[in-house]
Amino acid sequence: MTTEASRHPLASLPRLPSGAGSVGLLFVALLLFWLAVNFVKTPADFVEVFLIGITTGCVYALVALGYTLVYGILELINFAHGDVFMLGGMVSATLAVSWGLEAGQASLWPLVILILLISMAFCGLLNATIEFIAYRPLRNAPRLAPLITAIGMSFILQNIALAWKGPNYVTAPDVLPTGDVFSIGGVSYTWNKLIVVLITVPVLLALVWLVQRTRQGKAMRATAQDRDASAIMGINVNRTISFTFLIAGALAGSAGLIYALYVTTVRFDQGFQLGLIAFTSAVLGGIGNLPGAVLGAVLIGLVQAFNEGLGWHTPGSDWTQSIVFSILILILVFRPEGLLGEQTPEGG
Amino acid sequence: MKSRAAAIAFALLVAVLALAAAGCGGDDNESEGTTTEASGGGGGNASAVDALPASSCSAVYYEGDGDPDYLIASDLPLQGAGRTQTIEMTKAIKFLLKQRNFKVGDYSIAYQSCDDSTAQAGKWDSGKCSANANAYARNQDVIGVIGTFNSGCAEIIAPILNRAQNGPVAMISPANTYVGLTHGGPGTAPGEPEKYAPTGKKNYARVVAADDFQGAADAILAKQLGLTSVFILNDKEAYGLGVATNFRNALGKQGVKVAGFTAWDGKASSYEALATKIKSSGADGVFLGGLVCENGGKLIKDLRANLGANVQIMAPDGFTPISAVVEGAGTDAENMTVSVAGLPNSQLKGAGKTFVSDFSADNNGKDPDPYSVYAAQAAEVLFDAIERSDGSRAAVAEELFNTDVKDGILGTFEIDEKGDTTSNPVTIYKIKGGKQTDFKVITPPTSLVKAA
Repeated sequence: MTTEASRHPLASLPRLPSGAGSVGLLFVALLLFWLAVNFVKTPADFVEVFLIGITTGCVYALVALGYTLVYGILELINFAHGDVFMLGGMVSATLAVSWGLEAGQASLWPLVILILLISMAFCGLLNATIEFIAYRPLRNAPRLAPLITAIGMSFILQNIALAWKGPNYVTAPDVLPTGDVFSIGGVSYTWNKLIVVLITVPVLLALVWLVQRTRQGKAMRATAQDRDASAIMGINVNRTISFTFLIAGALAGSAGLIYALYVTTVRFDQGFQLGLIAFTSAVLGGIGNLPGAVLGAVLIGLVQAFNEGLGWHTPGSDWTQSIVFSILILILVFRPEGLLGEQTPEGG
Repeated sequence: MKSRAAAIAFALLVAVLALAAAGCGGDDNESEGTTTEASGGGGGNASAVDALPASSCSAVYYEGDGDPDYLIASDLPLQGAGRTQTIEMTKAIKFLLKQRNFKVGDYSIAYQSCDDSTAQAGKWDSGKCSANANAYARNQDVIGVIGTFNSGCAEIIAPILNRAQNGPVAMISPANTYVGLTHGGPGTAPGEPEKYAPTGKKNYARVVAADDFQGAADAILAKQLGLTSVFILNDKEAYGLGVATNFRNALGKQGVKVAGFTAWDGKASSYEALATKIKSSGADGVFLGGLVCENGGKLIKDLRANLGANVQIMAPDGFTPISAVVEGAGTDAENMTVSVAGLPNSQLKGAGKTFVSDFSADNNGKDPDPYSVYAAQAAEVLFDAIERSDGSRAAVAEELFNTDVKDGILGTFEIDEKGDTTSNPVTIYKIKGGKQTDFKVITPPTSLVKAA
């Protein structure tokens, strides 16, 4: 994988040929010019699309954080993570339907929080179980083996969801308030978008606090740096890794709930594509780097929204996926360590 | 070293199991609960014909006297959002066959219903289409195929049946509307329709009007609804892009502005940004050229939320069954129009009216879906072609093009030398109170159809 190259001792040195660097700068300049023209032409649309992009990016961020946490500690790309998220969405949608959630009912928020907790617990335990069954026995196997196992787990989870819910979209009730938080000059920002951001930001802050300030976080960082040395120092490596998967799964569970309530439709194969996008976000920001994953996710959300929503010389939604993955390729070529730099020892 | 090898073996095993599980999903043929096993009463015995593979097809349906001489198959997507519709279509075919006591002229006919969808995709799958087509071509007892539902799948099956040994094998579709399958024109690809008949002898026909009719009718509808500017979306499939292109061409001729033409991604999670773009284009109508199973419900919701209640949403027959649209989009589907080639049940006369009431009585009183009526007409056309033939595959295919129906289920029409029907009204349904209601019937003039 790309990370092999970036972990090479030389990777930390500035090694880009100046020609490539100026091409990159030119590209960024063109991009900014294009955004500026669109902003001048249709300012209201621009801001509207910007807000949509931030919201979508926040959902991606919660999934991307799970990828980056697991990568940070095991250097494993957990391809099943997107599908854990999808199952979280299905559990949330199912509970929301069976408990008859309705917009505006008095007990709405306690119930939403209860579903959030159930979904987080479910996905956290599921993720930790996957680690125990499918990744732990392969911990000392060649790098390719757990990667293939992860892809296999992804298919297994998809098929479980398929057997459970069938091939159709599972619809969750539309319960988030859609009234305007503010509406200025044709730009309206609705409550459901704000709620997504209001959940993502505290989760990120709590995670950074957990990793950088707590004893358990110290154990995670130590395990990420050197598993054997941590074991010698008395850290229970297996428990620390399980804990990391638990946290990553819980993040996916919270993303699942937000997705179910904000997007309102979940299908068994949606985790895979969203997982790929989230993984791209993590690489874009610098895999293993927690704030980087959020930055990458928001950027990708913005790229998608700008491409689909702006009017002046926009490739349009025919090209969204191509553009997102072209960005991945460009980042890997010009800056393999990502925007904020790869920091495998848990965002340290 | 040994444990490492064991670990790799375990990983590969898991991967293989996962892929196998993914592959098997498509074979879950849960839709075939109503199939009657052959060799029931009357001493009938279906063993005289070779059955098509059980991986895709139901058991042989035959309750007639003696052994069946030939086998016909239907090829429809029996899984996914539209399965209630397609399963009812197979019931309509069975109903007619039973009504004829499994006799067509001098020949006894057995039937198998084959599935071209996978559970994973929730819609037709190109691999299944090709596997099914090869199974029909190989099995010399298969004398004709009713299908497909999706144009993209017909593009795969028609040429394979065309090259079949002792063929070509007749193929009659109750639902394909992509123009290029039978004739060229705007929106079709180079080499169409010739590439679907590589032997030069045609075998593909349809009883449903092509999308140039539907596109023209929807353009007339847009004009009649007083729209001034329509934004056109497509789902990037042969059918979706085709009908969107036909609509765009006809719209220009009607003097209605095309506000934009772009794709929607069926796997995307949200269409809010796209809706913002449509809103700023100033369009007062949106046309959804594609299939409801490409996340159509979510698309409608996001359009409605961002564009408000006054923008008219228009969809072609890819947004049937309407129950699936309502299920996906809820009240946001209110007032959208869905065009379907052909007449509504309420306007059918003679044989059509009789079929609707008899089939409805046989099917727990449910009013037949428009496509069940088309499936029935397609079956009748195939039965008549078999009756007129000498019993060879090639003769049945040839007779398909001599079809001249007088007062049939869909009225009076012919199949022309290209394989198109000469009957071409388009019904516009409107969603009201979560139900499909007849809105109007439009028969587009030839000049507009040619331009579409």
